[in-house]
Amino acid sequence: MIWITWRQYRTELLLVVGMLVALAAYLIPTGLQGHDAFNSSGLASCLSTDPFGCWDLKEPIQNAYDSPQRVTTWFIFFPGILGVILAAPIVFEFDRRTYRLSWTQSISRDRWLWTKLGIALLALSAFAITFTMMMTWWFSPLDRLDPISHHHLESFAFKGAIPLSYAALAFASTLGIGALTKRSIVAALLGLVVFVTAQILIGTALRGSDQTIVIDETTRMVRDRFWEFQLIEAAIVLGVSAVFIALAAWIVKLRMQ
Amino acid sequence: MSAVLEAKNLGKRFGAHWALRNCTFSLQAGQITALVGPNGSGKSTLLELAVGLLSPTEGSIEIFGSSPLKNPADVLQRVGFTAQEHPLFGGFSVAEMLRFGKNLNPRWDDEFANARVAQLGFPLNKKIGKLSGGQRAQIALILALAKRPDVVLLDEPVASFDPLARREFLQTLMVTAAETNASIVLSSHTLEDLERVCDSILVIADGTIQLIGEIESVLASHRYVVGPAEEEVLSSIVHTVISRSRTGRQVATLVNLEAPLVLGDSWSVHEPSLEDVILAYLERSRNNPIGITA
Repeated sequence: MIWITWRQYRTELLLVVGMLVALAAYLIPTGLQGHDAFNSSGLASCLSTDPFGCWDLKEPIQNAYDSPQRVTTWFIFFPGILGVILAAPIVFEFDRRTYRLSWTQSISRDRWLWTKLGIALLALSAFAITFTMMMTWWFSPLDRLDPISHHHLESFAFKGAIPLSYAALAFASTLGIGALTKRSIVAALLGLVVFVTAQILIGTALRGSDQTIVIDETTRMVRDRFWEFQLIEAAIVLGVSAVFIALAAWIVKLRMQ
Repeated sequence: MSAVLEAKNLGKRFGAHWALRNCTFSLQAGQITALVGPNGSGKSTLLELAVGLLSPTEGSIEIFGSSPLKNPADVLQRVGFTAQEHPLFGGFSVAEMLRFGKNLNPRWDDEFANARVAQLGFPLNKKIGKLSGGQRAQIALILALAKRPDVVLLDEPVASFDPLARREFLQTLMVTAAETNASIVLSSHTLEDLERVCDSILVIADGTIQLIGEIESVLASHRYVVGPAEEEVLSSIVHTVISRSRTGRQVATLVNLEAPLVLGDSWSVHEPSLEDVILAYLERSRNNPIGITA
């Protein structure tokens, strides 16, 4: 079963590795520039003595990040695409109706489902954590500008448990919708729609993103209570994901009969 | 010994439509049974219920006394199944497809599987997606048989074959069945070649069983009775009339014999072919949607 899962996931895993390499190819050089700008600015020692006298020093760092950030903003879609890609091999079984082959071998449907889910979620976690570590490293010079410049809101969705939980949501919703409709394309598109909608709805509700006076307040909250905010948002997103997984399991066990 | 396949008042509804209803039958071990009926008559539904891909809306179906849904571990090991259109993984090579079977089936006979593939001359590294429909059907059959099942259920196994390939395929199936002692049920919407291969038939139409029995006894119990139109009533008092067709002043009646035929001089009796009998039952079900069992 493990060999079969690996064999069926091979293409998708290579695809994701390729995407991560492409992201790294952009993040590493631009991130190194950012880190260099930070290290050569003398900001580190300045911040430790007189934080509010360092305004002038942040300029080269912000310049270094200015245009790359316009690109990396789009990386927010990576967890969503990751989730959809890793759900695809299971959804293909419904779409191409090969489940009629898989479920009539000598193993139960339960074992089939949970082995596949287990391996897929393991891979999903590994990729999401790699992505999170890359992004956290990339954002660290900006995050360290605090308290003279606040960027915690920009980096919040790339750090901690957020990418992993949204990747899980995209995975689970693609899987659930795939089991329901038995259509790969529909499942992939709706999975992405769920992902984007959740980013907007949950993200806005919890973090606030309107460009008002509130932003400074929110930024400070996000900074000071980072893990509290992270875990609340991740718990909500993972809760919704669990509902989709339960839907898929229910359909596999009872409906697809 | 329990029946290979036993259905009791089995029914399956999809939405408002009953795909199968009131099916009660039992198949004994060691037989090759043809499941015959037009497209959409409920053949696939019946086979998918048997392997637990579907669950009954009412009634039950058991394989060797076990429910495929309640005891999948017991049932699935003993059943070799090929679904309609032979679903396989198009991206897998032939060798990988066999490895799939080996990994998921404890009773897998690797020697048999490899020997069959070699015999058919399929390259092991060829992608399943590049094989023809008939070749895929062969691979699906190998996967089902290499499980070393006690019963083999094949849904339209020969639909994608040309006549020669169909004959060869059925030949292989018979040889394998004889070697392994497996019981076989195969569905088909065409009757061609089935008579040579099968011991018994199960005719299904409109989701109900029209006729079930060993081919020999089915043939022995049906006769064409031809006679003058004005006397036709006589035969239908004693025997069940399956079909009746009028040509000029004569009427040909296919009857299911329930007693020895006693007829006047103006009558003649002919033996029908299996195809005649099956078609008569199918035609009857179209005119009168209540099935009987012979």
